[in-house]
Amino acid sequence: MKITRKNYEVFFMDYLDRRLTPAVDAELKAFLRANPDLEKELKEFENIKVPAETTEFHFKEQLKKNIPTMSFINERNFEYFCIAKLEGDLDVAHQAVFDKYISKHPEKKKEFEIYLKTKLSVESILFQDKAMLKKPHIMFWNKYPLWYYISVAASVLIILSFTFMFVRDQMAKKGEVTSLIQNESQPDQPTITSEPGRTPVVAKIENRVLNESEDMKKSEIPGTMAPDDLINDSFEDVLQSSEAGNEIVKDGPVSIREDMEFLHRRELIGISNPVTGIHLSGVKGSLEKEREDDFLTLREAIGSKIRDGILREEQRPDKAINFTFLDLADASVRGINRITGSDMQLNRYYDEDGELTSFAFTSNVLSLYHEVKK
Amino acid sequence: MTIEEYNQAVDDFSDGLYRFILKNIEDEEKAKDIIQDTYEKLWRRIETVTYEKVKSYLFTAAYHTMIDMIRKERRNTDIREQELERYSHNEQYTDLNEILNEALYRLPEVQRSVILLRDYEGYSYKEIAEITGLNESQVKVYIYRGRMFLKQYIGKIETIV
Repeated sequence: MKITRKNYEVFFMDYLDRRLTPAVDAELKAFLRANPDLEKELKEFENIKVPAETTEFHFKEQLKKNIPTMSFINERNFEYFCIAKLEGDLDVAHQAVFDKYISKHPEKKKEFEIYLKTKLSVESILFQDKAMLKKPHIMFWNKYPLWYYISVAASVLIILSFTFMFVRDQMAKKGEVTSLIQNESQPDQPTITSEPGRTPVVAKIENRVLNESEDMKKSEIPGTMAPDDLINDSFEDVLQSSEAGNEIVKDGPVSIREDMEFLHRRELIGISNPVTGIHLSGVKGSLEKEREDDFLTLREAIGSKIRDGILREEQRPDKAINFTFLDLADASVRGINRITGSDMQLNRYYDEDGELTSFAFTSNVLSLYHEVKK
Repeated sequence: MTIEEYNQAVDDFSDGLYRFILKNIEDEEKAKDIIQDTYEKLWRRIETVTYEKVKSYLFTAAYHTMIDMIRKERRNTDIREQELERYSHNEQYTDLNEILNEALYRLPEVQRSVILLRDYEGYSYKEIAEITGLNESQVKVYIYRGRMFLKQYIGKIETIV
């Protein structure tokens, strides 16, 4: 870099620090000869020198730690040392000196032993009324006001009460209908006659009903077929036959024509009648799809929607479609769970035949169990 | 703090708390009242007091309740003086604990409290300062004075015995 009047200061500083190379030094001297005013300035710089100072910190002794010696402990501070030792306040060095001191002064050791006796030993004093202080464990007691839990509990209890009553009533009705069918359907008093070559429709239906009650064997009814075979293979034939004027006795407990329509409707949507237990599996053909919605009752439609939308449950053993109070209770419990974040459950239990045997309501504060009487 | 933790605090600390108060005031019924009062205060503040701080909270609340009770009673009659007068005539000691208890009751309340917290509960100076509302230096001084008094009392009685 060439030395100019604009950058000469940098070269002056390096010159004063004796960091210039011989070549640059020669260049600087040439520059100074060409600029005598700057040569004078450089000489003035050379005359400036800061004298070295000797600064001393006068408080070193205050910062230093004393190395304790026996002479450190005397008559005046001995009690302080005793208590400090007792409280564990002495550091290792002072503690060593103190121990050495009392070992060489027996009378002081005896005095220190009295200090040791002032340390209180823990006495076994028990508070007997702990139960009085404890609070009953109620979940999320502080989360919501008391009326909130009371209202929730009352709602659940009301729904469960309706459920208990309804299930009992439903089971009672079922028992009555079954006994009625059994009483009316005596083997020696058939309610329908069948001709050779024609399918004995109603006899088979009766047989299915009797099978459920298990009071009568299939073989006791003459000319019967296996119910499933009957239903799968010949139900459309039956309809055609009945339309064609098959001989149907209408003086039974229920009109056969009405019964057939009832069964047909059930068959179209492939369900069981929860009261009679009659089940007809699907009829193949376009008729099923075309007329399916027409034959869902309001109760069934609501039940189906709620099951799909709220309960989202898998196929249950009972295969019932009607929306029951138990479903309502289940939906309520799930709704309350969502609102409160609680974990209440309504569980249903079935036997091997898919019959509801019992149900139980469980929560953190209340558990109910109910057996369904058959 | 949850309800379970509150009940756990009853199991864990009510004995020590009762002992601390009973050794201070020597009245079982009043000690029980203070314990109940203290846990009621804790119950009202259950959402703000954590389980880690509950022991300190209990001793602080109990200490101040006790001090308030003592001051209130002192306005009517100086019971402590009467009790000390009664104890001062009883010099039939059988063991060191009796002597020590006797000496303890003769201590000023604040010295007695800090020594009980130190010896029974093993609190540090800082923790005792937080409980009693004193600073650490004051706690050290009171412990020092209390120990001095106990040592002198024990020494004197032992000489008599």
